Amino acid sequence: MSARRAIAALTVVAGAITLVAVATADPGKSRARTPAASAPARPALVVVSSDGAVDLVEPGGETRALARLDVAAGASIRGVTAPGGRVFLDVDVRTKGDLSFAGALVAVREGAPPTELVRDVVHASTPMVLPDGRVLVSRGVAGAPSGGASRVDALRVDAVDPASGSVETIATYEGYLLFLAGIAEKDVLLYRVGVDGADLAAVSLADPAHPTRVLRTVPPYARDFSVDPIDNRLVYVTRADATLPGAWTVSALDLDDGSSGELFRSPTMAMIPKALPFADAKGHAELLVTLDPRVGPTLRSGLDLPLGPGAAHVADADAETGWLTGTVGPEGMRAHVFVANVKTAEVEAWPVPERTTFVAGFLRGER
Amino acid sequence: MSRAAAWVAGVAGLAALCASRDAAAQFCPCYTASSPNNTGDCAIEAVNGADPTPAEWAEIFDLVSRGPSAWGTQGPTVGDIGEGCGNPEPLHQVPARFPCELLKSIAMVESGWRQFCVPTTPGDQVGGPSRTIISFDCGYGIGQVTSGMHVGENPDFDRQKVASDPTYNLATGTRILAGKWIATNCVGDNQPTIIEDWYTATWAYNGLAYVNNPNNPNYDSNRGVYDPDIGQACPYQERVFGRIEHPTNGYWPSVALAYPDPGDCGGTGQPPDLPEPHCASPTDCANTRQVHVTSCIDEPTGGAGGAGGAGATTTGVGGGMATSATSSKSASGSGSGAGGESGNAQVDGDLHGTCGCRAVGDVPSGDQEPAAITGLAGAALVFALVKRRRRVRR
Repeated sequence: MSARRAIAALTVVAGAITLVAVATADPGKSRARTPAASAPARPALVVVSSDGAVDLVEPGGETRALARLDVAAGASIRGVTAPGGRVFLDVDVRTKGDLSFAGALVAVREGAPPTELVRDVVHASTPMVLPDGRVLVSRGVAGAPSGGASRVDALRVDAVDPASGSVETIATYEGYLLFLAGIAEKDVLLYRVGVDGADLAAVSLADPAHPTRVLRTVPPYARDFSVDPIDNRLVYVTRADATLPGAWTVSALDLDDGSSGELFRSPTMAMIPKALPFADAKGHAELLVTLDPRVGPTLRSGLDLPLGPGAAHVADADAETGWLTGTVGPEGMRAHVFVANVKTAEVEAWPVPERTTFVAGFLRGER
Repeated sequence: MSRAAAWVAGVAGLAALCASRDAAAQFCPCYTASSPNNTGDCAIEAVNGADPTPAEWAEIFDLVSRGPSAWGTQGPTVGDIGEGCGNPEPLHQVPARFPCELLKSIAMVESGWRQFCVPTTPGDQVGGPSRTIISFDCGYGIGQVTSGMHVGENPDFDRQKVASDPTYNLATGTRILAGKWIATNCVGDNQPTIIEDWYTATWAYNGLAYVNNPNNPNYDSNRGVYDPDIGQACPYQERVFGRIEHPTNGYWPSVALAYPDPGDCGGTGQPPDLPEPHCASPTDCANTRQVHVTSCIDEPTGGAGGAGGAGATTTGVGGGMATSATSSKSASGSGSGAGGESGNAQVDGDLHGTCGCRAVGDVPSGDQEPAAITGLAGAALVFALVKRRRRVRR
């Protein structure tokens, strides 16, 4: 869909849809927030296209190329923005055969050629940036095939210093999956799936030995993790009761005491909960979640943020200004890029390049 | 635990990522045996040749999909495969045959229906006549056959023909696929004529790795059916199934396949027995689809039960193939058993004929009738032993 059509669609949606709060845990009453007279300055957006284009899109629609990566058709490109105007991407360097570790971590910055930092990165994974500027990335080496059983790989999480190129391994795991679930205070949160099951674990960054502690064993269906920075919880989707077909839940793991609770339940696995760095009226983190794709994503507080039908994937949120960005759309369709402001209830569709497939986030810091 | 990483700005990898985008569009590797860049120990030289036309490819697919009894000496031997999983059909042996829709899509994913092309990589091979496409991992031709194609390997098929003959290459690929069918657990009632029942075998064709698990959280939970025009990251088998629904250049009719519930696929160990797929997409089981019988296995057979109709769904999506309920009870017992070579890019150690996995009723050698399992009682006994699995252990 063209950017113009996307804008038109979202404009119509924004005008026509009244969101219905469907949260089971915190139903709240839907209420629109009166837009502020003057919204905070809109940040520029970094978007990625399937053809390898990495573009900077200004609020007015001006688009500038940050990089042009040569990728084969079908290559996955995922990434994240970081302070200093930098972008870190997991880029497939091949698209055939076993793609398990087909990615490369590539650093992009306006005015400089892209820099490949490391290879053997987990396919279609998304890097994370530590407060000290290092980039966390999942990597691995394929294990030996084992007949009809799933292959066990040698997995690790590395912290890559983009300035020096040094790499520090902070976690290792022999299993199927070692997934970066989030960063909370001094811990890196991991979701691990192996021969004996799955768990959520934390790696201490404060301790140079980086000890790993298991937080909770979970069914091997967890996904769409989000750290709630206000209540210090890890929010994620799982299938808590395997005997209930189609019963997906949003669960929250308290990172202070290890307790866990269910927030929502829905037949759709694409609830994609996102804890936002904004407190609601009750002092809890605002949460964007899709409980019914026909309705679209809703805010747990009941505030009206009309993003339209489908599920939303929030790529970035700015705690100071209230802006958040990501993609929203029906399942299996090319998603629209949105920029919204939780504080002013503004929703905008930006005229991003037509082939945009991924939003890395807001450009941060000096350019 | 820290170690220095190579500072790789300006290395070959970066150059590759930032090279001409035109090259990517025409990507054609040729890591032929004599190339100094052949670091994967590819054993067979590329052969000059020109690709069949799409119409000729269609004929090749139709031939190969009917199995070794149809292709005769134009392909390698392929043993019988299991049919039935006690839901309700008891497990028994049938000659290997394959949904043509599946073969066409796999070949599109693997090679873009190319046996030959003018190489664009590695550097010493660029240009010149059109010749066998050979990937860095020694994937040869349209089926990207890797098994047996490395230095030191001695498979019981003709490696030269894998490099030179599109029909033989594709048939060799189906032999690998048959091995995966045998080595993996049932989908539905394990009917070779039902396209969706090949879900786990297709997964294994690329490798039983977590990268192909539908519960892998690296994949978008809103990804839906793979569409090459969108290019969602997803497991291999979803790319194959999605291309069946989104045919390239109209080369085959669209079939809106059903998908297993990801909650049934598990996350640990091997993929378990799966119920007959019914989800409208890999990420949507709130809406449903029915399964589809292939259009290219046209012999009247009976008892496949459960092969759905035109894909009517609660959302109106779906439809497609003719779906007469069919099954086959023939159990020729001939063949050597597709022990399970690897498909693309994977070296599936234990599956290379050493794992002790075999189809129920496989004849250890030769062309003898598998007397022990030809009767219903034998089949029932085997079924009881294997508990709905396609394979037994020695």
